[in-house]
Amino acid sequence: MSKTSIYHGKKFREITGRTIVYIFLIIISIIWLVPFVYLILQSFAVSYSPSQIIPQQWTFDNYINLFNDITYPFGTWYLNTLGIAIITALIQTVLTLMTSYSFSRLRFRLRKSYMKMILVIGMFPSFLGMTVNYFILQMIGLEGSIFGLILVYIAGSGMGYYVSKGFFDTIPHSLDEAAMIDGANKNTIFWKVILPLSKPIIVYTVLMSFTGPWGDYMFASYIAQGNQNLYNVAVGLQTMISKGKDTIYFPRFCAGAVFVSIGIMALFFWLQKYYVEGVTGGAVKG
Amino acid sequence: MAGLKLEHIYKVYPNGVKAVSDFTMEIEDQEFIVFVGPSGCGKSTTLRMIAGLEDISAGELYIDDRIVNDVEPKDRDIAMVFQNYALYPHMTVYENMAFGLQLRHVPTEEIHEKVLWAANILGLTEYLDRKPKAMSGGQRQRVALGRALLRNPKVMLLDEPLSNLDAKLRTQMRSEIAKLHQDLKTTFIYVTHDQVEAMTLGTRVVVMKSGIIQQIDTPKNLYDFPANKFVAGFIGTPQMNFFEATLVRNGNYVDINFEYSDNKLSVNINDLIKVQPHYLDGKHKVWVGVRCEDLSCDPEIVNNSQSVFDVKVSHFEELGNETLIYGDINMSGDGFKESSTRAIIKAPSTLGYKPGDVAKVAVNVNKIHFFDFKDENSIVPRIPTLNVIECDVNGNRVNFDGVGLDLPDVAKAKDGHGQLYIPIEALTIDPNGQLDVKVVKVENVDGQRLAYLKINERVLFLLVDESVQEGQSLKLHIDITNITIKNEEEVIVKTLEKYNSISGTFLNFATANSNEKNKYDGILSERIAAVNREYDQKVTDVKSTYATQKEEASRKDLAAIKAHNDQKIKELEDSTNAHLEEIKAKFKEESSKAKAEHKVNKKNAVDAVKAEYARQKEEENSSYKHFLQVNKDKDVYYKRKTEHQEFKENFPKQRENDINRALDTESINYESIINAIKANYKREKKVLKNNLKNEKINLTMEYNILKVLEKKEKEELSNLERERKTALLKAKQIFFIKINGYLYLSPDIISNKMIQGLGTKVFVKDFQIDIPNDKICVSDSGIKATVSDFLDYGEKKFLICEVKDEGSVKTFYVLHNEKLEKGTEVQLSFNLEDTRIIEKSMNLRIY
Repeated sequence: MSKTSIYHGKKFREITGRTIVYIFLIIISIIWLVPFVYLILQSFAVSYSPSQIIPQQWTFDNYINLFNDITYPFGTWYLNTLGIAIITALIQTVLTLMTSYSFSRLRFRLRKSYMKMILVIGMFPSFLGMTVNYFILQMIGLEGSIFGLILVYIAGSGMGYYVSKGFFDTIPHSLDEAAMIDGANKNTIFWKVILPLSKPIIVYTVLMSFTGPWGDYMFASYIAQGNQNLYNVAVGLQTMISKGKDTIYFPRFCAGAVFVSIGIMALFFWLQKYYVEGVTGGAVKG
Repeated sequence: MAGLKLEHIYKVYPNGVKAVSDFTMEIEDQEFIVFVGPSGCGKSTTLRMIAGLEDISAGELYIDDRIVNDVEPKDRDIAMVFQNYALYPHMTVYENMAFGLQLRHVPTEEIHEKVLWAANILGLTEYLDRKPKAMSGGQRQRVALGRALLRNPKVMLLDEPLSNLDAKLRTQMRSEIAKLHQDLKTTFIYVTHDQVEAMTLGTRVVVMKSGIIQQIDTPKNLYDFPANKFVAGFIGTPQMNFFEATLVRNGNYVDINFEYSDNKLSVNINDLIKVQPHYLDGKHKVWVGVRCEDLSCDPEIVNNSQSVFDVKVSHFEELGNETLIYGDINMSGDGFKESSTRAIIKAPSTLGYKPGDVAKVAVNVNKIHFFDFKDENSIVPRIPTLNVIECDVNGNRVNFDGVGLDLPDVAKAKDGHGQLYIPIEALTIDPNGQLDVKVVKVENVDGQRLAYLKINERVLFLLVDESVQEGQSLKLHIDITNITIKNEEEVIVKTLEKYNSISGTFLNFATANSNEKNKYDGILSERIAAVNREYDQKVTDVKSTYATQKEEASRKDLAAIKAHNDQKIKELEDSTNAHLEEIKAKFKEESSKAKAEHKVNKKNAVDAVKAEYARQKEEENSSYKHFLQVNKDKDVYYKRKTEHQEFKENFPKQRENDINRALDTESINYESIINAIKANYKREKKVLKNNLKNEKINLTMEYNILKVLEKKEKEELSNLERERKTALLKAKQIFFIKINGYLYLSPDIISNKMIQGLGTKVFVKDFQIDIPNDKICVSDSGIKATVSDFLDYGEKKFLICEVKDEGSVKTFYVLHNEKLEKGTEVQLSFNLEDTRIIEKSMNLRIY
């Protein structure tokens, strides 16, 4: 008899424990999801009324107007942002990975000091250098240009070496050595041996360097200097609600925000299978 | 296929740790060398230096008579197998093996052929299109071996290749590696910490400890004649027994008195004839080493043996086919701890002994090893280099063993008793010699013939050639300059120093030239002019050859050839394109077929698993139902209920596991199929494209011949220019060695070694230069010296000179036939190539 009661007790504890955890998780996800759901719902509203979560009248016009309104050229902004983000992501990924690889594999003087220096410099918020950056861009004639913005984004890419260096450190050095004996130089080793093994970290770096420019407001706004054609989505959408005194533009703002998140979500879903997949299996006896 | 030479190789880390010290060894073609030693002994570091993965701190490494110190690993023509395989995980087995050849731009067909050849040897043909993760450890190691041997390297380096495999696989791979070595006939260098691997695989084994070579020899010699206590203990399981003891000569017998024990052995001197004589005085402590198989408890052997001692048995280790008896020669010792009194005896069984019994143990006296107590080196050299004999000195005459030997006046020997040390090289066979000896035995030691020469009672050793036979009588000559007579620690007659040491520094041209007021300008300009002359001639030759070739070509009708060849190219392009289309279509068809098949297979596999589980579920349910109907016992009911519930809980998980397993197997299959199709397609495509490209180049070259010749000429000329530049650079590299204020032009061979070994540090270091006394002579230039004495040894006469050296005064012995008055100023000259050069602060032997 006693056996069964223990069995029941154990079972009971298990079930209650799990229920509590699930309730907690559900509450948290609701808290996280509410703003997003609210945003989506509002993007379909005809007019904005803060008290109503579910709009009274539904419409798709907000999305259509987003691309038709000449005062707020959302299409241009979107393309600007996409272009900047893609170019930045590509260049920054390559630079970051190269920096990390050299920190991980090459032995040169002051290597450790460089690494520490970068870490310390990285602790300062980036806007501290905003004024200086602006004057530098002015000197080379790139102020008020998208390329200036790209330059600002990619200039410090090497500083994000830390995570990928950690990853490269886990790839056994004997792979490099085997390739060296096989006749590869450092360049070939990087591109043909190490990079194919580093899909997760490439994906991570691409995502990180894509999201930065995608949602950046500060640099983008002062490089654009009020020229609407140079806005990215963040700056553009902000002008949309700050200039349209009352709340008539709010539903359209929400529509724009949804549109922005779709881009990054698509990227994430596309890349996530590589993100999870580890490829080092079978390289060495583990 | 090649030999290797390692000369005084050092590895010194920036923190000053010497990982490898003075590694010198010559490896012949097709040898199988094994580096063995405990972890951290520098064996892997040495291998990595050979591979080029670590820099060599000092010393030279030759592969095939070429210095490769500064050559990239890929250009050393070596291949390496790593302990952890180091396969490229994103490539298939085929691509892994082909990678090295692809980087070297070997034609695709050739790569294909070679990969198939290697796969065939290693039994990997079925796995060529798998990725490493789908293979077992043994297969992966085989791929790594395949990758290495594909390139047909001069030297194969293997860094503990088997230590990641389990015991059974290791034995199997060991014999495969041995077979591979037999088939390939390449030089193998193999690193391991496992002495069994070392003994079974190596033609020669290098035993290392703390970066220093302990012994290099064949496995058999390592076992039979260990050079020191470390090697003796490292090779062989169980470990050799070591006892502390003293040796005392007692007429024709030697007593071995064991410490911490009453045991004593009395051995005939003839069994210990090679033991260095001064250890037989009862004062020097020694280690006595006996392997467990050279000890015996067998009553029959014990009764017939003269050399028996007592061991208190402590415990046994029964290994099935034999038994190890553990005991202690100290009656109060316990035999469990490793100590200098513990004895391990190999026996066929326990022989009826019980723990605590005292056993009589016989020793095979021919197989006893002796080591010095302090430096632990063997005191039984295989070729004794020193003959030591008791002697009396009386009126400048040495008497030993009934023989008298007159010393030259200069020896000025004090009267008294002492030991006479005659190095083996001081003895020569000479019909006019002073000693009558009889050859009692000639022994063959690794190709050298060692003669045992009897005077009266004593035996001398000498290396002899084929003409000397056992039983022959000989006359021996003793080189008096080379003998020493000692009484206790007092030296009565001293050996003449072979080398005269003096310090020197290394200078480059600019420093030396400015010190000597541009005295050497002439040498420099002469060397530069010689290089220029040589290359000017070469340039003219090249130009004239091309001029004739161009003239020949210009006589042809190039336009016609162009028209013809263009037509041909066009045809070729068309046919290749058609072919490419064809194989592409084939590839597409095949891969879609494979895909479809994979889909079906996947479904079938899943269905099969599902069906099996459905059956199990059905069975369990019906059996439970039946049970419920039949059973009336409550206890049993609860038990069965729990079982049923557990089944229900685990059922979906198990099913999913099995489904996943089935899917995994299927996808591995599919992957290798699809990889094979892809690889095949790529290969064919590449071959076709390459063929087209090559044909095109050939055809265009035919009508562009003038341009091609022009380009070739330019290339050759620029190559020559580059060569000239390096030659000039070399010519300008003139170095001097400054000794005693006098500058010697350093020969290139020495300069290279100095710079190779020390880099730019070479200019700030002090060197000790050892000059052999027979290679130095009095002449009208060279270092200044003052004659202080003259030694007359009869056939050899020496001047003793005093040479000032950095504040101190050094004594030089100079072979010289004329007597010079004391105080005469002379100058001594010598050839730098005859000297030894040693870096003083780190004690590195440079030359």
